[in-house]
Amino acid sequence: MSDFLRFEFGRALRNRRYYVFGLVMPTLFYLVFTKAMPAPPGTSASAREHWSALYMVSMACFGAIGSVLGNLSPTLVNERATGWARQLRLLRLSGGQWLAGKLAVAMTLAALALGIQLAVAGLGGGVSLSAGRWALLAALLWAGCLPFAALGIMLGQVLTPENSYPVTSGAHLVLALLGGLWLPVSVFPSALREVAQVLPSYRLGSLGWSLVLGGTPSELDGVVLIVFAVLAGAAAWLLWRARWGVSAG
Amino acid sequence: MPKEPLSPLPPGAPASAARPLFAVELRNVTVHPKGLERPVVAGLDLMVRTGEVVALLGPNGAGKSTLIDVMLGLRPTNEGEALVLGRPAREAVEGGLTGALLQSAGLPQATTVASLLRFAVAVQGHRIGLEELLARTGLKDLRNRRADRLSGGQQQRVRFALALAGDPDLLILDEPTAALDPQARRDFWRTLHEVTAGRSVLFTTHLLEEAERHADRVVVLRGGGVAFDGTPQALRALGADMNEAYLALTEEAA
Repeated sequence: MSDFLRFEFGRALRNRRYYVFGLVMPTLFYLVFTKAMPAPPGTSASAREHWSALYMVSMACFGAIGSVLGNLSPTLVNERATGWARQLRLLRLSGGQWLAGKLAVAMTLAALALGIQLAVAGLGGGVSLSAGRWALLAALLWAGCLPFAALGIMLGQVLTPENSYPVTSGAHLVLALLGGLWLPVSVFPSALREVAQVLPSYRLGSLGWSLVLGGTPSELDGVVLIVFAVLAGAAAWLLWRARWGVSAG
Repeated sequence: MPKEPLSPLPPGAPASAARPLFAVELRNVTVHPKGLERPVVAGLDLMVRTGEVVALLGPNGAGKSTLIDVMLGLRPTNEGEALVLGRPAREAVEGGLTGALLQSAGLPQATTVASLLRFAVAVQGHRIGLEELLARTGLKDLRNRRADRLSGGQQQRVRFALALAGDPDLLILDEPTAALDPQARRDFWRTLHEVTAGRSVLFTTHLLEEAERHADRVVVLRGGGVAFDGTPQALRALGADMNEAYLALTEEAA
């Protein structure tokens, strides 16, 4: 298992898209929108700090969601198409070990993306939180990536090599946009605001926004994320079993 | 974590039985996928003795790939028993006793030959060293190349190395030379003979001269059953030459 993890992690780190969508783009957006662009005249220092903290959460979520989706969905599609998935079944690696390994690597990439984003904002971006709050924020945002990992595995079972990149990137962008990670949902028309309420991307952001503003996340955030994780996880599991799960000898 | 290597015998078994008599035992195997009118494989028996090299021949659709899937435990049987080295087929794969090169299996992206084989050697339980594997399969010079960017013949060598990574007792090779040019084909067989001494090998091919030259025994499938089972010489004796004998066997009304 540790051999598989090492091997998979090495492959994941060779994927340029991870650096672009998971690390560079969110960090760049964060710096542009909180540092480079002048605040509207009359913005107080505390409003500015709030904005930095909120946008840090948004971009950390954006990068982490992109990391897990990008690492799972197109890769799984490709592994199925090239026959690597079949080759793996000829090695001494069980389906459960394979699935656990894939999940562990994707979640590690998400942790790196989150960690870098929070570090940039905390060390150089004018966001200050207590150590406990930083830790809670990081832990909750990280755990909140699980529903997206389930979604990535599910997409990896149903997409094709032709559509896996556009559909996965599309899902990432739509989740980010409608989930209020780019623009606050308060500027959305009311119908779109309603849509955002049920999106896991909005709920992940919402968790973090509450925390950085000193509040407590709403229970609904957790409920939506867990329900989404269970549904996407069950679908991913059933699809995966149907495709590769033949174990009878 | 790789599973513990399976011991070849239950404790207390007599030493004379240390090596199973048969590498492959298929008894009365029937595979009948849902939705198909006729079974793909029907009541088939096929044995491969330990140390034997067997060529599995037959036209497309005769059931070769299905049987290989059965021998690897990738496909359940509707009836019958599939044992590999005395164990259920899937157990033999999971125990690292079987190595296979399949047409349908490919190489992953974003990895070098060396890191791919390092992983394979490790997950198969370190039964062979990476350097030895690279040397045996002629991959030393390609070790730092991206596996998915190699030529067809070079990729086939990597896939063969994956099959050997667990130092298996049984090698199952599904059309191992199908995509190779004549030089690569010659090199492949040369390597195979070097590395397979003492191992059992089952391979499929559409090239009859490969069966004649490299197999101890030839099994010809037709319509999901065995149409011929014997030495290459015996097959050739059925017609004016190997080709005619084969065509006569496989074109007879089933």
